[in-house]
Amino acid sequence: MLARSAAGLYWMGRYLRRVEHVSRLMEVQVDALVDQSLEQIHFGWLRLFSHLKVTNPSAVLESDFRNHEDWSFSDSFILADDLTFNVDNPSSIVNCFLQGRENARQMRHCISAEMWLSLNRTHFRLKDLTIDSIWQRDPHLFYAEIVQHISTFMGVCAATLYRDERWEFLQIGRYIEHAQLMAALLIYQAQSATMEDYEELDGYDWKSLLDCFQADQPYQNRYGVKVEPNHVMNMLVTDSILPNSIDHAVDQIRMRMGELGQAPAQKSGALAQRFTGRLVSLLRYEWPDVEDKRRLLTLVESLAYKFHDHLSNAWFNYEIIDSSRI
Amino acid sequence: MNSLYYDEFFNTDGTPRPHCQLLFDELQNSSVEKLEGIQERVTRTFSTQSISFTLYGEDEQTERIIPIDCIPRILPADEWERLEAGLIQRVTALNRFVVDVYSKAQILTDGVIPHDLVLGCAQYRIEMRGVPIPLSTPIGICGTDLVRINEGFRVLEDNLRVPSGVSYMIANRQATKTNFRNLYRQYSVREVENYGEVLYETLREFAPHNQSDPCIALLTPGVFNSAFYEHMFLADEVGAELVEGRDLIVNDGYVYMRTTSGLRKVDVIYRRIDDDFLDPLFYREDSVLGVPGLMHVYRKGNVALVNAPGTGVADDKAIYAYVPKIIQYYLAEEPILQNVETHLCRDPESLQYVLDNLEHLVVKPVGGSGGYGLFIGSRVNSKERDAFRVTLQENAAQYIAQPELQLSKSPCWIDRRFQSRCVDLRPFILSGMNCRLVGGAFCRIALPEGSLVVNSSQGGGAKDLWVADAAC
Repeated sequence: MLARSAAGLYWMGRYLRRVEHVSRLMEVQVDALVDQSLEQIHFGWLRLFSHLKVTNPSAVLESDFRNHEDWSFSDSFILADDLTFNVDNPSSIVNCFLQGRENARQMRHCISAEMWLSLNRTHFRLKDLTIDSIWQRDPHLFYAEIVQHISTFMGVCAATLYRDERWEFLQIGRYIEHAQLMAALLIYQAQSATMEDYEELDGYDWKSLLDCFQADQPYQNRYGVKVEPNHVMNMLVTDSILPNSIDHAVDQIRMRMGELGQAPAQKSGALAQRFTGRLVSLLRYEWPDVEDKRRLLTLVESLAYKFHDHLSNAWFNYEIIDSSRI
Repeated sequence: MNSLYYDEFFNTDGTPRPHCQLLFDELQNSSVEKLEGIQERVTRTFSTQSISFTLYGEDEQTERIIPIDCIPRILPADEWERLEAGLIQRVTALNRFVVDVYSKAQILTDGVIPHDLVLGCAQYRIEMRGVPIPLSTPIGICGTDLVRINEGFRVLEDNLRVPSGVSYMIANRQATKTNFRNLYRQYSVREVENYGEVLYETLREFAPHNQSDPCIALLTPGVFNSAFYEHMFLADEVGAELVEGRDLIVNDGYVYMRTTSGLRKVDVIYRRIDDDFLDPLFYREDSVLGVPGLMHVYRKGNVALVNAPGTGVADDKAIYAYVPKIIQYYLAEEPILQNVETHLCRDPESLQYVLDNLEHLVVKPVGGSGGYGLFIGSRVNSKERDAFRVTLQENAAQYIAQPELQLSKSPCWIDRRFQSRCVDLRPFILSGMNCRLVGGAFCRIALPEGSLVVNSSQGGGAKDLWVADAAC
């Protein structure tokens, strides 16, 4: 297929995965506004903005939240608006969705009509909304609905997209984005234990991650009701049958890469394959024995970045050297 | 009844035309709610699928959904067949004209058309002189605009460069027919949804070196082009790759596209970008939309461009006035379809007539398209007319003038009631080894009350045209 079309599908997968990821975390975060402590709410926002590597608007999070009774609602409103509707925020839900849809619009001839319709339904749903309109009703439901929309879209993809390179690149984009975001999130989460500001988190921060990524039930089945950070971390990183774990994402990438033919730029293609193998080996064989989980997650995140570069160079933006290659 | 214009639906005595009787009965038996429901459904089909046309100059809204009217326009098959014959005749002659002016230019030598009119035309591409044109058919795809006045159909213009609208014709059909199932069957409406197959067959015939399974690509300027939806739609219909200039590369005398499996040779390019932007080495050197070296490959016969560069010379509005003579010259036949009376302002007598009668005329730039640059004398005040007279006198050769036509009107469902609006027709004529048309055309509507401008780029709408085999 056309290299630019493949890149478009890959980026569509990435952007829409980011929409889902941010929506899931926002769903839990706005839920926390109702009954959690200011510390927990503040930590939740900081975790969101930090791992997405975006600055918070008007430095709201740098203010002394403990001395402001209404901090949880008024400032949260500003932060939620920024992460949801601010089109200048590269990680906001609306911005990522528009980018994902724009990629789809340019590749409409490569995707099924049902996929386009499904995406467009979400577009029309989002189009006229503002933070005021969702805040006045139930913001939790809004974010849950967006997660639902994206899940439906992926279901439509699975049901209708031809299983050739289009599918492979879409899935690779989706899963590399997930692996990268999860690694970044867990790196930040792992340092929470050492933060002096947050002595009273009571494990809610870890529990909220289980809720976010549909891991609470499997966790209970395996470890019982007590939330232990180590167990949560292990589960979200290495549980290969948990759909939102890093291991599952990496395994999917490995499988999808196996389906791709030889890359036009063979050296970069081989490096992308090698980094996939390295990621698998890190998670499967090194993780259990490594004490410093943050260091290993940092390596996972960096490998994800490198994988992206080599994949792009191998299949999308490869150099054309001379006519002898033709 | 207003007899100034031709009513597509009613006779002058107010009774429905025979071919509209079935539709009339259906509409008469439909409640306002039912018609509102139909209109809402067809509109929703367009918006959920984002069937759009981008209006330049709009900062915020880049995707404008084409407004569609749910009431079909009916054309009896015998009327259509006459149009079809006229269009085939016209495009056949225009193809011969383009081949001629870039080779022996016999028509100029014989004095049928003034030399300077052709050679001085902005769309005349001197670089195309002597270049062999695949199938001797430079105009593979033509969209001819037809209007109906009381005296019959008239050709308003031929669009021979990159005509658009065919995707909306198909979308109109898909959105409309399911809402009038019985009627559609009763009328035995001719098919338009096979356009993709016909287009593919046409493009395939252009393949160099008689390849039976050529690689076809549709070259688009990109997502910001007004007709990007159509480019995407057509690429899908013919199974072509939708490429931008940056996806193509010239190497070893061939054109390749960058794929995930390496470079792949391209045999036929259905180009939807203007000549000026095709090849920065040949035309505009600042073009980032085209492919450096593309024209070199074309001249070697290793890639086919459809339409060929330089076809714009035949849709120049000054040349348009000569099309009846062109038909007579090449085919020795009388034109089946009439032109609109046209005054070439380059001719001093005509210019004087135009200056004297400006309030009754529409003045158009000779190289214009898309409804841009029109001057409608009756729609401006005397001060503006005076100002335009000066422009006209200074650049007379750049303009033609035509009488302000009373376009025919067809009923539309607007604001919960029937309202008549001006309509036109754009049939698409495909020429490869043969000339072909599907059984219908893109029907455009001038939506604002009293407006005569139907162009999508000027905010026009669309409705489905039914060529009915069982019309009466």
